[in-house]
Amino acid sequence: MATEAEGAPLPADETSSRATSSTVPAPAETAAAPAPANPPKLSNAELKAKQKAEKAARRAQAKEAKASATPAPTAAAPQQDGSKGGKQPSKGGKHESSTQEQQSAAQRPGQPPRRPSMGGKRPSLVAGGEQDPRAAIPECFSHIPMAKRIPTSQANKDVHPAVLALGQQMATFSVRDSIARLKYMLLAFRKVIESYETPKGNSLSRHFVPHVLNPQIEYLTECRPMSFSMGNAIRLVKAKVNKFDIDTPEDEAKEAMLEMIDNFINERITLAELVIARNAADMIADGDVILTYRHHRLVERALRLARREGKHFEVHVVDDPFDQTGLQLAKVLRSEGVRVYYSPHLGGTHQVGVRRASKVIVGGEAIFANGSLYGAAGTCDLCIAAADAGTPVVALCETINFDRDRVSTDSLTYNEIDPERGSGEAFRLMFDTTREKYLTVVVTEYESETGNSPAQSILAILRKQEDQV
Amino acid sequence: MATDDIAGSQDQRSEPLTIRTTTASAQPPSPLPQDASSSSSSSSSSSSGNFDIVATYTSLLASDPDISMPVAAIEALIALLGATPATTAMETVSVIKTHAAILRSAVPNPIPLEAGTDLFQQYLLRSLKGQTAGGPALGFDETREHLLANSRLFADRAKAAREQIARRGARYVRDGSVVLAAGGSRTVKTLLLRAADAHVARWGCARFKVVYVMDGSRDCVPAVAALRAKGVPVAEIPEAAMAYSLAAARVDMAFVGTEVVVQNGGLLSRMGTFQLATLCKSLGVPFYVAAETHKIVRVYPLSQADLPRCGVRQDVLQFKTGQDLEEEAPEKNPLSVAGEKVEDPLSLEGQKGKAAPVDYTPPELVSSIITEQGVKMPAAVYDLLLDIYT
Repeated sequence: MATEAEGAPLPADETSSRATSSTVPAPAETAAAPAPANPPKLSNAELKAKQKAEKAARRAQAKEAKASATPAPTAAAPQQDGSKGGKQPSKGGKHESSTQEQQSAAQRPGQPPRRPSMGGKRPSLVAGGEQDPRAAIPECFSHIPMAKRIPTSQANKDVHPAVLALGQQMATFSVRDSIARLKYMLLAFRKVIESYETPKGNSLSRHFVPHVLNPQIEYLTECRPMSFSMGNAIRLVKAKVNKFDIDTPEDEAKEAMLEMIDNFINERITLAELVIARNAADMIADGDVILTYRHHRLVERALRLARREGKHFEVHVVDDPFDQTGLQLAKVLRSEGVRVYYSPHLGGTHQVGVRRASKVIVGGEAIFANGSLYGAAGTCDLCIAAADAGTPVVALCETINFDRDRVSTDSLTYNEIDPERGSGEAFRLMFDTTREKYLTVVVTEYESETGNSPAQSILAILRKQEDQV
Repeated sequence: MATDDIAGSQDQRSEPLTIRTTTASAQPPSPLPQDASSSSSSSSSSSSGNFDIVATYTSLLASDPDISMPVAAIEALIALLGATPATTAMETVSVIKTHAAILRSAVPNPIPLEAGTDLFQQYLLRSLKGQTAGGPALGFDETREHLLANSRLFADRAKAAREQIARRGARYVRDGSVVLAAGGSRTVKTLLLRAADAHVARWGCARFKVVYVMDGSRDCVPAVAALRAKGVPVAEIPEAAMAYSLAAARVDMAFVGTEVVVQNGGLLSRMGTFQLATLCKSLGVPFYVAAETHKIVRVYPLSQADLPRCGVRQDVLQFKTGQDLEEEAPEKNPLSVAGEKVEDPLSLEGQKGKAAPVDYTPPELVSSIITEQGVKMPAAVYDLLLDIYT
């Protein structure tokens, strides 16, 4: 445990190295080759990050080229592009003008101010000439946000370099799942805080959030819609800053914030993962057949822990054909001596796999206040099939991913469009929502033994947590 | 004056607590105050090493027909506390913990016990913490005395809960209702008697009918007799007639008791509860559970197949071929459950000899749980649990 806890600062260096290295090649979209400039100095991690950034840049260039090839109407009205659905000629055309008017009249001005973490916040920093990648998305999905690469040169000047780099990594999905994004965001905020100096005549508690923190958050949100966990963490950080007395010395306040962030990472991320893996491993018994979907870090950790404790069980990994992360999980488990079945897609598993399994264990990206699980697209199919077959479904999720305000019963209210696997004809949603009734238990890190909660009751945990603070 | 051999010295006055629990029955509150004072004076030199927690628990269950398993476990632990010479808080806690574990391991289905032992340990820890937070002025003996007094209050409260549940639940039984009750739950019996009283007070007679499922537990017969004595028309049916009766008698609601309520609001109870709940669900009959909050336990079964992981040791399903039977010793009954644990008469609330098998009723099948703290949806059980344990 101690090593785990100490391990937390490590990624900080990693990010910073990534940060510095990937800010360099980022302008590569315009100017061709910064790579050979100083090749001998780069460490492995830096090289990796660099390659990633370059790859992303290439991808973006390709996309740009493709986009400019399509005969979409140009610069003047990027929002109309979004609603037009350029390649659906017949039906869309009929109602086009009226619906558009309705939309612009009713929706745009009357739209309630959304929280920054989710929902269709339009990029405000996009330059006029940019192609809108949302051109092909039909109007009825126009509320669903999408990650977007923003050239670093066009970002707000107040954005810290570490955050700039992180934004790029989020937009290109090299920092991907909700907890990784949360963690790297907090580590980047650490750097922001460290380099912060209160301007003369201001106080930290008044100045920091609106003038320093908010631009970072806005930028990150534009790169990719915030995860629920990021929203929760930002709320806590802001609450902390607001609590400072106006006369609190800057050093003291900064120290307190840094400490808070460190504790936060320790308790809500590092320790939480340990405890959840522990609780989930306890649910696995000898002879179990565990069905899981794609790769989720908590599930992997739980399965490996159970295996290392000498439990004998089999794992059936069902994968997402569009993004085969489950393959890696299957390999890892096999190397640990677990018998693994692998299905490259959901087809057929409904009939056979779900009935054969004794437990379904899935990881979640977030959980809504009503207990619905926000997970990788396809999770819901599996859970419903499992519930139908009477196989219990175990969902693993840290409490920081719980949303205390919003409820969701469908997969379209909150979601994200996959920016990488879309075409003019089709696009892909990244998540889906599994109703609480299909979940048998939600395993959380709360108070170890008592942290296994019915999905309907997760609010009780949040309430308790707030009482304890 | 204190003795080392507590369990053996049944008539020694120095340890009246042990004597009460092992020999005499009935009123737990009255003998205890003197225990608290006398044992605190003699505690320093007596030993808990020989305290037989299992025997204490067994005799408690055997002696008091109104006591339930969690409460018996709690009372056994209180007896232990009274007999423990531990001089520090931590020592006391660890003694209690060890004996709770001994007690649990002695029965085939330790979960009902666990509800009691967990609750008591939690209570003990809280009291100790509260005491230490209050200031170092209190000596350990005083703390312990305080605990003994409070523990007794706790056990009393647990018993009083049944009355409160009866009062709340009785309101559900309205004019013309047909109620199905199953098994030997004393809580349900009390509830129905209370309903009969209310009807008699209002209309001069009981204006509801009861369909009573006779599942073979020893408390069924007296319950039926008591209801009939109050003028309630009761139909006795075998378990196999449950579905028929639910439909034919147009049952309005079903009441059951339970051994424990698990973390998600489901039940772990006598075999057949799940069956009845499933029938009620499919026939649209509300399924109410009468349970004291001390029956809530920190166990989370995922399915019937998951029960062994939760600590239930039973062997209901034994697949055998003709050859298997021939190979087996002829005296062994293939339908027996939980082995031949004849030495555990305490682990069941009905039959003699073998541990009564249990099944798991998932929370979806439970309409409401009537507790002394109010009528709760199954999902609210987790809230209650968090209130108790965190």
